[in-house]
Amino acid sequence: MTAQEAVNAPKRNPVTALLTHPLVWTAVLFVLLPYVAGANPFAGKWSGFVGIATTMVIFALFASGWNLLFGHVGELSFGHAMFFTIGAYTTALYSKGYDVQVFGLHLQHGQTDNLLVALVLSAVIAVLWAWLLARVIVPRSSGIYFSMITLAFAQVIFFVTYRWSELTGGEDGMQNIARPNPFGHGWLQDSMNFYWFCAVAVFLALCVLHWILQSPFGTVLHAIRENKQRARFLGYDVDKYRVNAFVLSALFPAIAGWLWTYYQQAINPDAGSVEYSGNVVMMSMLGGVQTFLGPILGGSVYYEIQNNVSQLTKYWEAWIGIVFVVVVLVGPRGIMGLFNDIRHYGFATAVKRGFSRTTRVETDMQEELPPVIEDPATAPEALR
Amino acid sequence: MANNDNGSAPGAGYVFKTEGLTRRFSGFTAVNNVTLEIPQGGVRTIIGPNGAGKTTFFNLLSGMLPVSEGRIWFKDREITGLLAYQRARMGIARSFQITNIFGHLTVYENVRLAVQAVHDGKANFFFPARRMGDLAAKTERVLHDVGLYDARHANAENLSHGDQRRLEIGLVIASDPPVLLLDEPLAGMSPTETHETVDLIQRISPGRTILLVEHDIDVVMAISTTITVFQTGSVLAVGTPQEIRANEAVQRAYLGELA
Repeated sequence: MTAQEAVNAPKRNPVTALLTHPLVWTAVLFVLLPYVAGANPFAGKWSGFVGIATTMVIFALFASGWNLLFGHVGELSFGHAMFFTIGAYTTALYSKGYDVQVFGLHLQHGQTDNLLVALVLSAVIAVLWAWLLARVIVPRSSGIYFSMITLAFAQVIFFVTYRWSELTGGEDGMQNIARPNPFGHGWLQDSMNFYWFCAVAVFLALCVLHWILQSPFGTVLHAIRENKQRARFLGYDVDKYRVNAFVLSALFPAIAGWLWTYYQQAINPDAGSVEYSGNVVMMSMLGGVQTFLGPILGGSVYYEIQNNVSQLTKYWEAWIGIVFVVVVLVGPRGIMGLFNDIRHYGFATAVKRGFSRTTRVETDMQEELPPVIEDPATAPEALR
Repeated sequence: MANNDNGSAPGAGYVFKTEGLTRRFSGFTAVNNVTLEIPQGGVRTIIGPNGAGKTTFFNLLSGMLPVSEGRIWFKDREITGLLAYQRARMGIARSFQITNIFGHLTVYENVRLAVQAVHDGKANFFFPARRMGDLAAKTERVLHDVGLYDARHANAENLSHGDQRRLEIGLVIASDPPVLLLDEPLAGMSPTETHETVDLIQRISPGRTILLVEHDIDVVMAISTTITVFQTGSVLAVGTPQEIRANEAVQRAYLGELA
């Protein structure tokens, strides 16, 4: 195909557009998950575990929120668990009630059973905190310094949940948090029903995220990722965009935290730990950053490995580490990167590309003609 | 300072005015006490030997570097303390000596970003980009203007050097700015590409002021309204191409080494 033909390539038909739309694949994944999550055909376990599936969808949202910042703006946050834990603790405190003295003020709140108020409170508090933080750190830092400062602030939140026992229950956290009953008949008590509730909530949130990334706002974020200086000289207030992106990327982990509390019906400081912050980084890298599906898929793969390997050895974390290292070395663009290579080069070449630098250079050089990309103004950002 | 007879109609006003503009880099003075008025309209070229401070002067005007001393006005408004993006929004667009585009985005997306920058803050920013018809129309017009319409789906990094330079000019003109700062737009171009790009610059110049830093002296002499010669951070001479060609100090400093 000559360059001219490539340019004149017909627009994709609607069926292809639908089949390559990441939200369609997200929906397919979410429908399949409760039946396959945690299954291991090698051990003769053919059915999935709904609890593992629930964890997977919640972390899909958490990781996708983190990836808004890393994959699309290019800033690596090592502290996103703070927003997750803020969402989770807000929900827990709102549901279970509290009774504390703060600076001589007596704060009291009884037990409540309202899903939506808990969601709004979680989101608002996380977003406010993110906004304050962003105003302070985003204009002053980027790159490794940004990562370190987010980590430091996450530690602040972690130690608040860990030490302020009167409010948060300290190291033990809070238990026996009732799931609300918005649909009557204790509908959410059933774990399968609760999974579908989570899946729908996460899917809706991901639709919003996808919409944001497709908007002109999303394109500017990509421009900032590619070339901050150029974006500035086009007239974009780069720092304003970075602040807004930071706030948005805090919103989704907070929503995930909201679901997490209801799922666990308990909460402890671990939710805000460095480990959780690091896990979403690993999940997204596994799945492939800079793609929409990457963090979603990566979370599922991570928990699939965790659940199967932890039954074989207590050193399962080491195996996750090994898988992570292999993925980063062989396919730095993660599972979705490998998948896109397969679509692009065919299976054999794609695998060879992973292991042979020569093949990688050769296949890259064959791309002397521009890749065929459908009209960016009309096509979905599918599988990119 | 030779500011009279600089090719502009009397009373046309200036786009840029600098007063005692100075920029130092740890002991080295790149731009030294430059007081200059750049009149509105035409192609205003800045030439000078390497290290004369041309690019630094551009960087000071566009807000890439803060000034060490002195003040800058843009059309009667002082812009000395404004940030780069604020100056860009006032209608000062610039290109870079080293190609500076969004490599991993398509040509189309590159230009659309530049078009969209003008709408920043006005349009509903979360509204899907594909439904903003006026953005698309404007983007396609710019792509036609710079002759990159057929390559619009290519990733910018895959373009030839000449096409990347042209895309850079596309980014600069996309926002329809009254003032363009072009930093060596012809660097590294083949003769054909040079010819096309000069055509392009002349096509876009009516109604705009173009500040040009360029080494290709034939092109400079052919398209400039006025030429400002820099030497070691100071202005050596200002005048029409004929005057500059006849100026002995300039010949010694700059043209001599080419002849």
